Amino acid sequence: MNKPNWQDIWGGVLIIAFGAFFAWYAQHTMNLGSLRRMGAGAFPLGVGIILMILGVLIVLPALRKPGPKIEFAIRTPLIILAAVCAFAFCVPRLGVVPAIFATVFISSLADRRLTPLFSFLVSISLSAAIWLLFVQGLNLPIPMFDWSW
Amino acid sequence: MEILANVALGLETALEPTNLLYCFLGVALGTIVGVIPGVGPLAAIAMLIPLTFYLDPTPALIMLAGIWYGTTYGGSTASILLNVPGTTSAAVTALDGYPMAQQGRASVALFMTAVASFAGGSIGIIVMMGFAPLIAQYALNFGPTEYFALMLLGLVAAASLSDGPPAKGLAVVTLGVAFGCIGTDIYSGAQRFTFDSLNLMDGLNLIALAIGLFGIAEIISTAGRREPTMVTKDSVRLRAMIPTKDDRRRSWMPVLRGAGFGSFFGTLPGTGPSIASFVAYAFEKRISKTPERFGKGAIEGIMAPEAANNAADQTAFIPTLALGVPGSATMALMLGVLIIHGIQPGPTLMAREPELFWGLVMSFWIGNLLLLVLNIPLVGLWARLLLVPYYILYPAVLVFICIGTLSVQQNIFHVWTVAFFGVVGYLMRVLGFSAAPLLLGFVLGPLMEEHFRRAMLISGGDFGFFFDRPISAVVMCLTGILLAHSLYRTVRAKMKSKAGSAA
Repeated sequence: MNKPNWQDIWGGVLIIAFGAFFAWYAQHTMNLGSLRRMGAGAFPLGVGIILMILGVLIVLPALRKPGPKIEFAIRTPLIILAAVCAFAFCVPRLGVVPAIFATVFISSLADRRLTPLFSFLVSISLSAAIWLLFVQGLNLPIPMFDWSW
Repeated sequence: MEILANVALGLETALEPTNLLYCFLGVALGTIVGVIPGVGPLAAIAMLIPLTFYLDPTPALIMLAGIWYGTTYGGSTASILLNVPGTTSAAVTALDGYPMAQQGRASVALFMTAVASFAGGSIGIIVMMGFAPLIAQYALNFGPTEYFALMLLGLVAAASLSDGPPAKGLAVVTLGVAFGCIGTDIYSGAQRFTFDSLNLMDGLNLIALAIGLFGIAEIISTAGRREPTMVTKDSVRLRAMIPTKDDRRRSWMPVLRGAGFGSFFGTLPGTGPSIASFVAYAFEKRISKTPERFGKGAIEGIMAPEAANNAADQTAFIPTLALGVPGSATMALMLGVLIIHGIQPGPTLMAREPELFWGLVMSFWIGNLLLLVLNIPLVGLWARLLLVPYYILYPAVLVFICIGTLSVQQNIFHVWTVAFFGVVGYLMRVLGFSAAPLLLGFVLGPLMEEHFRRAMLISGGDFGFFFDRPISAVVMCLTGILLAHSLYRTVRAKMKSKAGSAA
């Protein structure tokens, strides 16, 4: 237990920042209208203001209260996110099969028990299964390979 | 008899081969998800929604519902055998289930929880069949004020009853409402927060948002985790399942009382199977003549919560389907699936889509029967699942998530959305926010805005309008009380810590 509660302070500050941006953006880019005829921006403006108030209500008690230590792992989340991004990056450029290989190989870095041979076998079988299910079964227009460039 | 005609129609729908198949698939997947600790029903349903995208709405909903109540059956298995709850709603079952297993009565406990689950589920379905049409009938003359008030109550209840400081829960719900604002404004056609991106014009995709928030978070916590070593072949080996006469005699009333609590808490917004099972357990312990037996393998201590959580699973559908106001994140997901399929939720749903509604309700009976069959003779098989080192599965699950998201509209932008909400979800976890209420806010936000703006249009901008009609006035007051209570809790916590630091 360390003091003050950094977890809530950071959380609250982020909420305040997001709410402020949300309210500001709504006010500047949208029509607010009147209460009788609310414009597109009125509701988001209200939501942003409520968020700021709630953020303050999170931060204030946290200043004087002890809280749990923030446990922040970097490696695993980063690898998993990189694997998802690799998929999103590869599909329009190379096709689904290369995307599957990229996702499996990158994500398997997160666990040392998974070997490259294992990843290779998983990628091959997933490619086959997805080809059967999505291309043959559902007739989805997803290119398995896309070398057209 | 109108109800008989409806039941016949529902049974006919539910027994169609396709629907039967998806019901079976749903409950089997649900059992697996429930047995494996760490994978909750919300994440499982989010990840499996793309599978149902190409189905008709009825089998899609039947399957997703099957996963939902199937997890509750499976959840008790790990609680009893390993003292690790498979799902949060089975956490209290471990209190007496694990001691029973240590006494060599694991099989009895598993058998009896399956029976309790079935009894609780059945009572929940009966309550649903009786009340849902009544509530829908009554709600037909609800106007925008009633809907706005009910949805607001749902959001506030879900936020302030979730664990942690209420302000954090409320902030998460509001964050969900904020994300729900993104897209084209339905009244004026104005672009809101689209940043000139065509991909955002239709708003954020519900499926991508749910998968990012819950699926990715689940994988991050699975990857690289060291499994507890206590899972051995021995702990999943099961012997005779015959409960003693004493077991049976002691189980009757706890099951009925548990189902009662479950049916009640299932319908309320913000509460659900987990709270129902806790309350049912606490109540049994309080009224017991021998409370000292609890925690040491009392059969009442597993029967009441298991009946309660299964009853709550079923009655949770009452507000979702009869009013179109979901009480939990999972139910919000179900409602979202309906909307994706172009079905307008609300009290007219039963009249407009009787096959969907009654087919779903009757599929609950079939699903519960299937679960009884799956869980009593086959429980050994499910228990063996606990031996699978499931870290080897996560790369495949990740690919499945990506391809599933892509398949929804063949738009790669949704996969980027998954990644974005993966970051949001992880950040929330690190900072101690529970992410589930966000989904509720995201689904209810746009509906609330619509009703609010309509109410303002009718009343000419007068806030008092919400207090003019009796039902909305009562609901608004309830919401106010809940908010005041939350505020009081926040302030009191502050005062306490002040007093603590002064001393």
